[in-house]
Amino acid sequence: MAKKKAKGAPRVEKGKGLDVGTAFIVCAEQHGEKIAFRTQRDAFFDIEYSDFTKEMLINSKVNYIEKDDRLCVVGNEALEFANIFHTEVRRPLSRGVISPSEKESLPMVELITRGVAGKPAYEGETIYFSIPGPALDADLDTVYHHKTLEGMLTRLGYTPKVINEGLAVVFSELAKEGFTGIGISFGSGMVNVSLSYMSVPILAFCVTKAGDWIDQQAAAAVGETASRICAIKESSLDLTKRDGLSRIEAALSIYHDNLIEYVLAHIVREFERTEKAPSIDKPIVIVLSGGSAMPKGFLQRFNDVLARSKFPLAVREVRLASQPLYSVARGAVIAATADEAKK
Amino acid sequence: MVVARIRALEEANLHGNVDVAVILPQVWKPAGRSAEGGPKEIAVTSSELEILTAIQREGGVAGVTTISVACGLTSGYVDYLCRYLKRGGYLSLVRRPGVYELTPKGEAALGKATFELDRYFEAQGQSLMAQALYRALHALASQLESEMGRPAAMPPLATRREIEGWAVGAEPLEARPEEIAIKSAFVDPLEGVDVEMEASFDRIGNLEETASDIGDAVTALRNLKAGTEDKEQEE
Repeated sequence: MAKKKAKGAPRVEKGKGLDVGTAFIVCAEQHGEKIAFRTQRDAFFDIEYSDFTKEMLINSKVNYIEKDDRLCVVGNEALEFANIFHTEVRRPLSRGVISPSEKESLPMVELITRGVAGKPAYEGETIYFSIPGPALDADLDTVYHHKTLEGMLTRLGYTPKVINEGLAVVFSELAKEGFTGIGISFGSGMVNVSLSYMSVPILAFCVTKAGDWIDQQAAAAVGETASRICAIKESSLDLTKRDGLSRIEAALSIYHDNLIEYVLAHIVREFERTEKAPSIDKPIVIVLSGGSAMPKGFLQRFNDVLARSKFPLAVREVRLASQPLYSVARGAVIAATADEAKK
Repeated sequence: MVVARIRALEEANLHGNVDVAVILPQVWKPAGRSAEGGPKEIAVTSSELEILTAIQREGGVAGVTTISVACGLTSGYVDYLCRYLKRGGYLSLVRRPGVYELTPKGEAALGKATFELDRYFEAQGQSLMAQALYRALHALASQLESEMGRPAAMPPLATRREIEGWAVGAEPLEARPEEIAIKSAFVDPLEGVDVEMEASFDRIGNLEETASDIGDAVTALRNLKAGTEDKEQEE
């Protein structure tokens, strides 16, 4: 007798997209007519083990991991704990990649990844995970990052494939433009840029000044912790305001301008340097995504700086991704679903 | 000494002056699958030889912290390289995690590196001496010519390659083999590590569902890819 499908259970499409970022890990998958995003802050805060502390965490329904003689609070609560203790959270990723020297944090990345991605729908399900482009301003070991994640996902039972973070933004947001344009992901550890023509990446790179850099610079300027600056940035920053700013808001405003100038200057320089500079006949669309592009007024700031720059391509429009925090995972799940459909 | 010499060679290798693969064929190997289709060859770089040397200096057995101090590398990176060397059979784990012992293969690699390096630098020295001698003789011959007013019987100045072959008495240099590939073999740092820590969760994170609008994008991407594949097949 054929098995009856549970009534009301959404049909899960095959293929997943995973955005492994410095601040968040996001997994996207299709559930019937809906797309589901599971997000987890990629941070933890470790405290000394005691039965009392453990019980307190259980009663408060705080996610934790028991590791040797430590209790590691995972996720948003880690940031809250850090703010209470006026110290910093620990990040398994630094500047967008898993650091070879942070081996101790690797099991944490694996557990968080496992918790976010879950089990595959079937053994060998395709999962696309994001990786950064070559870094222009740092010596980053992206091979280690790539291979470590590949190993983790293979152990979970997936068939892992990689997608450049900037290209994932293009896949997510520029389908109507024939996957032609520039996708920029303003993350916390790095900013990834990809120029794509008909889904083919022509130029892709990253710079390692990003949201964390803004937090650190602003924190140093006003004598606060980066975690607290980050909390303010994510909750109440308004970049449309130029006057009547608090010291923290003024510092954040200055460093956002600096970051945008830095990214656009690198795009201009890469165009000048590349031997295969594309000649795209139509004005292109630039899409901004990522958590660091989310503060109110960021798009306007970007347009202002772009207008002052000697940008090498005609730009038709600059727009914010429909869901800036999710666009990389969304682009990755589009790639995965397209792959699965071929099977 | 071994490490300093290899570092010097690596520097020269980067500038295209020498090919480390020719000088140290038994030690320095590009990573990749062996010709027999067996397991991947393990490449040994200068940092790894430095680790082997540090362990040898400690009497053949050393812990990650000791090696880390001796080599000036972080303990995380030393541990990573030691796992890599263990996989290659150059080291084995003893007593407890994090303490490594040099295996006979590791000893042999160090010995071979020392021998090859001695041979190379000795040949370099002899070659330089021969060149200097030749230049001095030619200078003398020129002086005699001008003083005597007739040519002195000296063979023409040999090419560098001839001098090297003659002076060292070694077999002629082999043709440059293919370029040294960047090391791409990789040991998964979590392989064999127990990550079954007690967690208070199975799934984690905030779940947000929105109406899916990716269908068109998936179809467009699939068509684009299919078109490209068709085009490639036609070509």
